[in-house]
Amino acid sequence: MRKQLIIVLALILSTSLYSQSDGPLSLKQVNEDSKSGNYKDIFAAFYNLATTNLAGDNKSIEFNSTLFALKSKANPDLLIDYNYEKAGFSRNFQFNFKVDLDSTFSYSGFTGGFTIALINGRDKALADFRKTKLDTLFNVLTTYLDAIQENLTVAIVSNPAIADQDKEFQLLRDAVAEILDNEKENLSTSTNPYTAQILVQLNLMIAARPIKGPSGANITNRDDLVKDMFALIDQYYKVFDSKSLLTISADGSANDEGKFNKASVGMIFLKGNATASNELDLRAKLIYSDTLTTALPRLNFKATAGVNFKLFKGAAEKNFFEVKGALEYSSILKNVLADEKKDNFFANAEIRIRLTDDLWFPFIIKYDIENDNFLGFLNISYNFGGFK
Amino acid sequence: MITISVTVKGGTAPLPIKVFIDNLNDNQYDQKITKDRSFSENFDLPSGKYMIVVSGMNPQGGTTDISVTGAFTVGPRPDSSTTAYKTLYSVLFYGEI
Repeated sequence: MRKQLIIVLALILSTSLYSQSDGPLSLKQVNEDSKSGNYKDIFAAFYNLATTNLAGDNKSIEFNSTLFALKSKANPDLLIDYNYEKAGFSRNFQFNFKVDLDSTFSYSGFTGGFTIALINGRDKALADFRKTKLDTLFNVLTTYLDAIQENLTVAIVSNPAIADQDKEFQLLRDAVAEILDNEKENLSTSTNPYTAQILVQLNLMIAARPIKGPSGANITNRDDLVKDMFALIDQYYKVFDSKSLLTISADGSANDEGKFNKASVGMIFLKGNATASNELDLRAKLIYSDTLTTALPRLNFKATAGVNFKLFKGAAEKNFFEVKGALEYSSILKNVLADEKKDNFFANAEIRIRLTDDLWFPFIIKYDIENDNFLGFLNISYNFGGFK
Repeated sequence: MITISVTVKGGTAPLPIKVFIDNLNDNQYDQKITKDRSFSENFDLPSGKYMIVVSGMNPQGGTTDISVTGAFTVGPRPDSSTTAYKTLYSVLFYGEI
C-alpha cells in the first residue's frame, strides 16, 4: 500500500511539473535568463518544480515551488498584473520537501524547508522602462506602424477583389509581428506579402527623420531600430542581476522513525556592482544535527563573506567562468569532539565553469589558514528550472 | 458602444499600453490612450469604419490578452480577441460600427 501511495505521489508531482511548465510563470523566465551560477544556486530552487529520482538505490521525490505558483494554479487571475504585484510575499516564499526512499521504495527520511526573499530587487517581471530611451524608440516605431497600418487597412477594405478580409487582416497582423520580432532577419524575403510592404514604408519613414540610437549614432532603418531596442531591453534587464537579494531560510530533516535529526537556519545576501560583473556574497548558517556519526547533538555556525567575479562572456552574453573568493569562519557551538577544533578559518576559492545554460561544474578550493592545508572539492550543479 | 480589454499576465507591462482608435472616415473621432495596467473600458463611438491598434511590451515571460467586442456591424477582423506572446506587440483590429 505504501509503495502504491508513493508511486501515486510521484505521478502527481510529475503531472505538476509538466502542467506548471506550460503556465506563464514569470519567475521561471527570470531563472532561465539568469546569467550567474552563484545566483542560481541560491535562488534556483524558487523555480524548481518536482523532481524524482526513482532509478538508483537511494530514491527520492522532491518538490520545490513558490507559494505563488501553487496559488496561481488554483486561481489564474493572480497572474494578472494588478494581482501579481500585490502578491509579493507569496512570490517570494518558496517551500520544498523531499521524501527519501530506499531500494525497496520504503520510506527512509524526510526533509522540508522554506526560503523567504526579504529583499528581492531581481524580479524582472516588475520591470518599469517608462521614460527611457526604449520608451522613446517604441513610441516612434508604433507611431510609424499605426500610420502604415492605417494605409493598408484602407487598401484592404476598399479593394473589392479581396473576398476574405479576415484572412487579409490576419496576414497584416502577422506581418507587424514579424517587423517587431528581433529574431526575424531578411524580412524582405518573408512569405507574408504585407511584411515587405511595411518594411519599405517603415524604412522610408525612419530614413526621412533619423533617430538617435543609444550609441548616439543615427538609426536609419527598421533593422537597426529593432536591434537597438532589444539591446536596450537586454541592458535594462541586466541591471536587475546586480540588485540586492536577501533571503532567509530554514529546513529540517527526519529519519525513517520520524525523529528530527537535522535542522538549519540561514541567511544570504547578494549585491552586484552596476555592470553585474561581480557580486558581494554574504552567508551565515546555524546547523543543528543529531546523527549517528557523532551520537551527540551538535550545533555549528558557519559564515562566509566573499566576492563572486563573472568572467569571459560568451556570444549569448552569459558568462561561462566564475571565480568566488571568500573568507569562511566556522564554529562548533555545542559538543566539540576531542580531536576537533572549535573554531576554524578558511580562505575559499570557488571556480565555476558553465558547460550549458544550466549545467555548472563548481570546483572549490579551501585553504585552512591556521594549519596551512589545502582541500579541494568537485561538484556538479544542475539547475532543473531550466527545463521548459 | 465597444469594449476594449487588455489583460497583462505574469508581471507588469514594462512600457505603457497604447491604444489607437482610428476612425477611418473622420480623424476628429480618433482617440489615443495609454494605460499602465490591465484595463477594460467602454467607448461610445460614432458610426464608421475603425482601425483599433493595441501596442505594448510584455513582462518578461508574460503575455497579454487583448479583446475588442461590442456593437460592430462588421468585424472585428480578423477576430475579436488574441494573445500577444512576443516581447513587443502591436495588434490590429478592424471593425465597422
